[in-house]
Amino acid sequence: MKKRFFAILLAVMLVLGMSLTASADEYNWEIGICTKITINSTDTPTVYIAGSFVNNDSVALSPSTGTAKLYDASDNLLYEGSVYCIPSVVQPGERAYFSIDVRTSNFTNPDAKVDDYTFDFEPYKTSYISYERVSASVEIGTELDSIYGYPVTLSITNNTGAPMEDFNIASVFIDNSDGEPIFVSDTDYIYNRIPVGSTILFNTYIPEAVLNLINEQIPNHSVEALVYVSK
Amino acid sequence: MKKSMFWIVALLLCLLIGTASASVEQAGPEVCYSYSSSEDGSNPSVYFLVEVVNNGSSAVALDYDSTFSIYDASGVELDNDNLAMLPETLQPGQKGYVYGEIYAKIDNSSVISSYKFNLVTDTSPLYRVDLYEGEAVPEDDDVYVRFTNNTSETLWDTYGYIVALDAQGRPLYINDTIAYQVGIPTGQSLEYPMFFNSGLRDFLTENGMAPASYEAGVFIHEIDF
Repeated sequence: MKKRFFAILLAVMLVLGMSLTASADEYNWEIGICTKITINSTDTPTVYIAGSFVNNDSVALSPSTGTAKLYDASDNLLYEGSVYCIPSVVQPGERAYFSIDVRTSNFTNPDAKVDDYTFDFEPYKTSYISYERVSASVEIGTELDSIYGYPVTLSITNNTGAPMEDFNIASVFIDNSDGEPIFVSDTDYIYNRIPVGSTILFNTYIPEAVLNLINEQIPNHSVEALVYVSK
Repeated sequence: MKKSMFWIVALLLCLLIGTASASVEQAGPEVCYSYSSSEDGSNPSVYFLVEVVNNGSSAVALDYDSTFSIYDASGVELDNDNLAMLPETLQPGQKGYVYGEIYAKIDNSSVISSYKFNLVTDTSPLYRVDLYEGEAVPEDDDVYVRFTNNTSETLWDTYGYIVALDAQGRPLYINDTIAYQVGIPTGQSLEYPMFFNSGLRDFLTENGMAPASYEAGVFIHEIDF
C-alpha cells in the first residue's frame, strides 16, 4: 500500500515538474521564410536577413533573445549574434518579426559569402505582459538621409480613448506573393505619450541600396507599420 | 563729412561694445544641494542650478570650460564637473538655466564644505534654439510636459523640458528628454515623461523643497551654420 502510494506520488510530481519546466521544444512555433539581401555596392558591404517567429501554439509566447548564425558554403561559422523580435510577446496564431544586418568586415572571413544561416529561439510561455498592435499608415519618403537611407514614416493616431505610451516601433517590407518579410527596420522604443485624438509621426529607415534592390527584384511588395503598445 | 564720420565711428563703437558685453550672467541666487540614494549616504549626487540671463546684444552659449567644483574643509577640491545650459543658446535679453550634477565618489556629503562655479561665455554659439511653451501635467510622482504644435510646420526631434520651482518661484531642478525621430504635425500634441530620481524626490520632500510649480516647454536645436 505504502509503495503504491509513493509510486503514485512520484508519478504525479514528475508530471507536475515536467509541465512547470516545459522546454522550448514543447511549444509549437516555427521560423517563417527568411529573406537575405547582400549589398556589395557600398563602402561597407552588408548582409541583411529578415524573418519571422510564428506562434502556432495556443498560448502567448515570448521568443526571448534569439541567436543568429551565418555560415559559408563549407559550413564555417562566419558570424554569430543576438536577434530580437518585435513584438517581444507573440499571441497565438500571430507572428513577430526580426532582422539582422551584419557588415561583412565583421565576418570571421570578410571575403566569404553567406551560404546558410540559422535563427534559434528558446521561447517561453508568458501571460505577464502583452502588446497590442496599433494601426498606422506608412509612407516612404523621398528625402535621402546620407547615413540612414530613405525614411519610412509611420503616422500613428491615438483612437483608443486613453493616452498611449511606451511603444515598440519598426516597419516591415512584405513580399506580397507569399506574405513573408523582405526587410525589417531597426526597432525603436518611444517613451513619449500620445494624447487621445492626437497623431504623431515616426521615422524608420531603409538603406538606399536595399530599397533600390527591393524595387528592382521584388516589385510586388508592400510596407507595413509595426507599432506595438504594452497593455 | 566730419559729422557723418563721427556718427559712423560712434555706431561702430556701439556695435563693438554691445557685442563685447554679450555674456551669460547670473540672474538669481544659485541652488546647490547633495542627496544620496544609498542608506549610508555614500557617493552622493551634488546638484547645482542657477538662473542666468544674456544681457548683451548678440546670442551666446555656455563655454565648455564652465564648471562647478566641491571642496572639503581644507579647501582641497573633491570633484568637479562641466556645466550645461538650457536653452543652449540665449538670445539678447533671454533667460535660461545653468546646471550640473557631480556624482561624487566620497563616503558622505558631510565631507563637502564649499563649492565654486564659473560661467564662461561662448560668443559663437553652435546651435540655434527655438523655444515653445508647454504645459506641466503632474501625475503621481512624475511629471509630463504636454506640447501642442501651434506652428505651421511639423516639428521633429523636439526636446521637452521642465524646471521644478519652489513656492517662491526659485528653481530647484531641471530635466529634459528628446523625442528622437518623432514628428509632431501642426495642431497635434505629444507628451514627454519627466522621471525624477527617487533619491532626489525624497530629498526635496524631506527638506521642505518639494516643487510647488513647474515651468515647462519644448525646444528644438539645430546647428547654426
